[in-house]
Amino acid sequence: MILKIQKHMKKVSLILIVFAIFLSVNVSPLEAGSCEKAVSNCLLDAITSIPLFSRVYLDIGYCVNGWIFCRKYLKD
Amino acid sequence: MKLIKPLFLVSFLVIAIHAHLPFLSGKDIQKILLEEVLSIGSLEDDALFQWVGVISDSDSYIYVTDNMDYSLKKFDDQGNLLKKTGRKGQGPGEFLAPRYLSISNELLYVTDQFKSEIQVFDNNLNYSRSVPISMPVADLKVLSDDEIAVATISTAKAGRIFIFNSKGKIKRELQYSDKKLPLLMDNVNFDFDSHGNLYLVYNYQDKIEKFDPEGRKIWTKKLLNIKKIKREKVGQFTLPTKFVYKDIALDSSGNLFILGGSFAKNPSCDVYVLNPEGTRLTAFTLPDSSHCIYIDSNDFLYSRANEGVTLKKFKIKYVYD
Repeated sequence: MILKIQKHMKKVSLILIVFAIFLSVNVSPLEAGSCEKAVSNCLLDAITSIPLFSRVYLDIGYCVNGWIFCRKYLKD
Repeated sequence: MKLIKPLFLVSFLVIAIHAHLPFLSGKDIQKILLEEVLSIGSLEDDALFQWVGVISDSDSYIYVTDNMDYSLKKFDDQGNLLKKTGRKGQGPGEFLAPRYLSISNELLYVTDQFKSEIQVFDNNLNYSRSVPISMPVADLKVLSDDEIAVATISTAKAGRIFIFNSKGKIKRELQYSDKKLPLLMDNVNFDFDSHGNLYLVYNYQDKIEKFDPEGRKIWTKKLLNIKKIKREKVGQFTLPTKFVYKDIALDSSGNLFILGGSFAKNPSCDVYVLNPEGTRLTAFTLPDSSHCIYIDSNDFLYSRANEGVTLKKFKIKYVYD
């Protein structure tokens, strides 16, 4: 059972690392706005904190919430 | 001397009837004018750097969260800074990004963008306790110290307002949407009236809704006739980027004040006014763009100016038919 969980964790970690790399090389289109830049950095931070990967979905939620606030604060 | 008492009573009645005449005769609001009564903070001083949340108490003290100052500030009704609390940090009474405010029984509830808790302060800004909230808070309204209503961003449990108790446990959920929509499409700002009815404005849909205290939908309205909201790629997500409605506030008569977003004629400035039945009464334009509006119990409206450096307070003047 423990072996199974360890295998599963390795898989999830690998997926997250690949996703993080994918995000990091894909930053350029986001530089149009400061909110997009901020959310991009936030998502990267969330996804690269692998030891706490159980929190990743929650952290993504916080990042997106921050992005909404940023856009809301702007006039348009 | 004998006449004084009845005369006093008659004049009191005349004044009272006159003051409430528009309501008694069923007249509708035709127009709303704003009279600026207070301005806090300017480009020349450091009273406010980038305020986000505002609330006032029964003694007309004004409380403001200042994002760039990592603080919660208390002003008197003349705009004098009485006290400030908080600094950058993760500890009790500290902030990473202070956001929304709500008040109940003279206790202030303050959310933080990056903290999974709501911090509670007394009206002298002393830290009291924290309520753990295990989800990002998009909007907040404290109904009582044991009923904290929160709108959140959740893919698993979207379309709900969660009511937490004082310990941070979910007491009940008000489900306003059961459709599986793309991410953020059912994001809302909300308010409750004094009868417990829930009013929602959707941030990314042309939709305003009213629910009764049992969660039954009473009406749905749209004001701007927007059919489709464009979604754009943001990082790895496809998200709606233009706000339809930014905020909602209720006045003391239960009228709805709705701040328009990008699709308004004057983005982030136009405010639409509806009666509690959802009939559009009028609209007016704020002098400066704002991310939110707040109306206190004496019908003063608060909004933003100078991109967050200034807080404006206006007396709402109702013009009837």
